[in-house]
Amino acid sequence: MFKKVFESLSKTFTNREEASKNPAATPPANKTKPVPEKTISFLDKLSGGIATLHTPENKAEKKSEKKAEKKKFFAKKTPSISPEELCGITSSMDKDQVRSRLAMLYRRHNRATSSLDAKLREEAERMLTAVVAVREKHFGPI
Amino acid sequence: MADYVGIDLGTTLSGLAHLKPDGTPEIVPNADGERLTPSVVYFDPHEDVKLVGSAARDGGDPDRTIFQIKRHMDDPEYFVELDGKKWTPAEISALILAKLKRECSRIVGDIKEVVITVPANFNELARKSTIAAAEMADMKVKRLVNEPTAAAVYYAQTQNLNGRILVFDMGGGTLDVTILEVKGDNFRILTSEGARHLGGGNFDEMLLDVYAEQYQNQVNADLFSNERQRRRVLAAAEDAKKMLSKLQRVNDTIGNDTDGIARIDMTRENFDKLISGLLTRAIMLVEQALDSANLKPKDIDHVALVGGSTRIPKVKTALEKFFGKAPKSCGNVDEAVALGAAIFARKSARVSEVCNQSYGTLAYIVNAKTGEEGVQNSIVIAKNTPIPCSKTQIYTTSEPNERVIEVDITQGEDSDPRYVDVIGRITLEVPPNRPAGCEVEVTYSYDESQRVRATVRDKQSGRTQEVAVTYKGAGILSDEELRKRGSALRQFRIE
Repeated sequence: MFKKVFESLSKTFTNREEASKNPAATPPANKTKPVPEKTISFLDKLSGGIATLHTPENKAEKKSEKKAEKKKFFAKKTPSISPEELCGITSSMDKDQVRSRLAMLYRRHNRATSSLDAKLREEAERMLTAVVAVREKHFGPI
Repeated sequence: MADYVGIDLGTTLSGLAHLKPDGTPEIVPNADGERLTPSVVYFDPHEDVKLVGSAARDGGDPDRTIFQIKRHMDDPEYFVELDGKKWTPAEISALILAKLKRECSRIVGDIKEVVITVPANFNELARKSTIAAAEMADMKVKRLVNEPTAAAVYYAQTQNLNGRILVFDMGGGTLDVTILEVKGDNFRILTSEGARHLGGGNFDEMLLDVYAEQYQNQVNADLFSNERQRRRVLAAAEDAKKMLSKLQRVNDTIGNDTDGIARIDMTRENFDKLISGLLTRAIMLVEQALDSANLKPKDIDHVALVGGSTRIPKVKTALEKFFGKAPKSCGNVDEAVALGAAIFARKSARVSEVCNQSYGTLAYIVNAKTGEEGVQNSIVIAKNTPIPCSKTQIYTTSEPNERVIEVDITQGEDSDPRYVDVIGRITLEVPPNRPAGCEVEVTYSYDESQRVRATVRDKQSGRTQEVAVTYKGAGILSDEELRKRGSALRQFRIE
């Protein structure tokens, strides 16, 4: 599990370097490069031993978040996914859960629109369009 | 010499204001008689001249014209290459500032010291770039002020606004929402949020697409085939957008040299539908700001409008519907920031600011209850923490016999590492043969100049490493380069 997570993380850093605007420019010192597994040290947060990742209340949300992540992955391959599916909105969610989920996605992808990673920016625009469509459907036009 | 000068260096428009002897601020027009100068620079290939403003925007080869350079002030790698020379965002901005200084000085006297405004969520690099631009244009920056603060100062003075104010600043390129508490001369910023590609320029582009589609339907040909033609149509779309703020319907004819003209008919209703998606995003940014400050719409006493795009009627009605009260406008909404900056240059306003972003590190986190584990962004200083501030988190090493501890400094609120930026790294060597689980203190400090410092201390060995986040990249000038290029820039012919 740890190794898998690390690999995906180093791909993220690699992608950011590839997306750099000027390939001829010298990479800045503060851009991280993938560090070999043996020398990297990830720190465990200390709070009584092990950090609490999720509260019981949002466990369901986290589950649906994971589902949404999977569905997002499929969305790239099958463009006909609905905005709801792209946003991980299920019919079992109440209005507060929908609002909460949309707010999280908006915050995440609004920030990503200024990412230096072109793929992340592209994904962000796609997601924001979906977020807006779902919001307007569930809460009406502004 | 001019006293008390404020400059709004905007994404699409820039303005300079000064204080009159009676203490009221006044916009100073440029040599073309314009109160606001388009933030556009054109490099002529035949004459050694840099055009700045309307002439640059409307006349030159688009490939030699630079628009919206402000969007790139925080990108350490960004530069524009022209005629074999690389221009950094700071230098391009310096040309705009130089024009303002030279032309406005003829009216108000020599301008040596200024207050310049920046977006509230400008990071340290963007702020440093702005200061560098002013220095290259031979002006000393008395203070950098956040744009919403400057606007709030202007509103407070002219409309006597006090209490909890939400400043909604929608200009040509960006939307910024800031919530402040104003009490006389005391300004306390509660939170600030921004959307980088949400402004009048986006509405223009949408109208342009409608024009192109209607032309295609009527004439069965492309409306434009090169960037120069496209920019001309974009200008026509912008004019139509402005007319639709006053009229319910606009008729226009558009065309090109080869395929003839077509008639375009646009109603305000259709325009409102066209931009509704972007306005929903704008309202969601307002919600995000309220959430961030733990406030509800009813907790806001006043909504202040800033930026030319707030003239669009649908923007005002959307905000009125959301807050249940009409937003305040000062008429000259695209001048409020520059005017506020001029007031700020003299007024000894006390401003309490906050961290505009969260700062943290990547940590391997295990959920004791669910067993889920993975690398996450662990926040050390949360967004909206009043500054200056310093916070410490304790972590433990994850493996035995680690010789090097590496701490990635992240910027962003998301727990998912993909959606935060790594802005620095500290590397600390530690003694060998240690077990896993050694405690490491990570302390972040954030000062009033929006500068982040990080310290890592290994508790067992006492070893410490400290770093201030610095930026290196193709788009950044060293101090020496800054001096040289500033010197050269002051000799340029800028019109």
